[in-house]
Amino acid sequence: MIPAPQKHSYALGPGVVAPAMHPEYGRAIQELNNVNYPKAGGQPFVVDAGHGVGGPHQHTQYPYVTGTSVLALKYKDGIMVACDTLGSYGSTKRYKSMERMKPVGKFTLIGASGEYSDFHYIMKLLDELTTDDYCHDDGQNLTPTEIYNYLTRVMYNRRNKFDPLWNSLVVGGFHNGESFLGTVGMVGTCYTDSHVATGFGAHLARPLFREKQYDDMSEDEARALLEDGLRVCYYRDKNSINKFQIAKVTAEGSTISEPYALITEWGYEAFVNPAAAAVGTW
Amino acid sequence: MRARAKRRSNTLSTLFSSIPRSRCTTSGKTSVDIRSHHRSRRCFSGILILTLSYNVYWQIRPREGSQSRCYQKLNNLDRKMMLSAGPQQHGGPTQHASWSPYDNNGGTCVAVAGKDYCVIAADTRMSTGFNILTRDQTKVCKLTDKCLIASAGFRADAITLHKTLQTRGIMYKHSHNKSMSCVAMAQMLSNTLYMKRFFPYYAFNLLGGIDNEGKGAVYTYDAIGSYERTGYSCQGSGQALIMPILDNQLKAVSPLLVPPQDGATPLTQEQAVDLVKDCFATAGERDIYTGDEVEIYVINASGVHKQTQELKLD
Repeated sequence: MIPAPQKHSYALGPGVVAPAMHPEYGRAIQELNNVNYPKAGGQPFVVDAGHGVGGPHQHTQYPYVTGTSVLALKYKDGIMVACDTLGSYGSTKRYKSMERMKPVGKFTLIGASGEYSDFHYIMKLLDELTTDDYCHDDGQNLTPTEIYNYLTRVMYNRRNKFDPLWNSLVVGGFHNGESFLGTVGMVGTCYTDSHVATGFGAHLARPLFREKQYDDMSEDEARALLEDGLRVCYYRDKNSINKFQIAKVTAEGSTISEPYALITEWGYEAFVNPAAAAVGTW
Repeated sequence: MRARAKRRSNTLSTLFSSIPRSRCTTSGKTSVDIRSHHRSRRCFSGILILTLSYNVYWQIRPREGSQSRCYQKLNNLDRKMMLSAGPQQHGGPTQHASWSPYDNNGGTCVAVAGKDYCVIAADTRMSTGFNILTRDQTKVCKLTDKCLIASAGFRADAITLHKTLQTRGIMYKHSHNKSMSCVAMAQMLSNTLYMKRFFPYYAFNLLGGIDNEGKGAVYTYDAIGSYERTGYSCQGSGQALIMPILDNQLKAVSPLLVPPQDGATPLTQEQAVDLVKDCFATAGERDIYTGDEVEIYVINASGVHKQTQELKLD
């Protein structure tokens, strides 16, 4: 006889015990599930993850599919954000048409580098919030600052659980005539500035931004500067491809461009024989 | 904003001219004038030479305990796994990407208490490793009308700590219909830090304000909540550079005296502000984590007053 359930499943609700929790059936279910482990990696599908098969809940220990740098800056009409569309699997250029920028509500745009599935999870959290706003239908929507602060808390809390979301996020927004630009890292490190860049972009693109960016720059100037940033990142970052999207957030809302390529030049003499100017290297 | 952008692009020329801004000014009107600078130079040049040999890096380095050990173990056991490209298959030994829950974003805080005022200041640079993340991030947070906190170290922890204290201060006000006193806030900060004794906030805090008698108060902390009321203190990446200057110029009151002596410094408010500015200019010369701008808050009977002073951008 099956004993009455002593505790309920968190996923299924009170009074219901998940099969995997059941002392009698636990082992059988586990064996069954062992057979069904996905061969390509990842977690097996279970209704009540963490209480079920395969031992204790696993934290993210390694990012799988990742995106590289996101660049963003303030300009006259709002915020401009740019990144390539590559999803790397280690060093493999695995997915070449991934959108790494997504709008949130009317005034905000998120750009993400790092683990792509974690980014999806973050977008799910944010979409729940915007859906909630929409359902209330009271004209109150989350502002870019609020979304930024929310994300900061989410990232920091996951870091506190030693189960970080493996991303660096860029939050750009335009609301009530004011533009907002901030970034949040994997452990919750966050700051706002007139220009930001994640990953390699912090080394390669931000020096250009520091030199040329000013808050009243025109859209054309901003685009040219961002493309310069993207170009140096593409030249030096092996995990990037020449397929970029540029997004902007202005008073009219956010728009994300179709992917396009930049003109590049690989024929420079310094590229052909890089060791010529550096005696002692190979 | 444009002017600021231009200032930034002049970093290189500033670097090569090697004339710090504080010494560029010739007008006696500026708060850090040449005379005071040179006078103080002479006074503590000996101390400076000693100090500069100190290690300016952070003192308590967060360690990855079990994680790094785990990583090593896996490395030794399964070197073979390193050969296979890309992330590991499920069920096999996992290749750990190492991560630390801590970062050090640097920065320096200084506070000086006087008879009826308190000066608390912090620079606005936020760094990680050799990167400057931003030049304009405040480290100071106003907790009550008479109490401010400044924190260096890990920014995410400091923000969380500030938010917690601010919230509790507001809740206190709602339930008691008066602001939390500086002394109570100081105790609460200690408790809040100690609550996370085994996963500490990596934040180095200074609390400054006016106590119930109207006297200036400075409280200085370590990351896990040990604290002390002093007449002056310094925390953060520039601590080793600034603390001896303060000791030399202000002289701490012996804690062994009975009855205990008031630790407040004898300086006037203006002298204290000048000293703080000199301290930051000095630390900015050698500490790469201190620079850009210093925000100085003066708390006295008439309220909280903010002023800023530019520092070197290199």
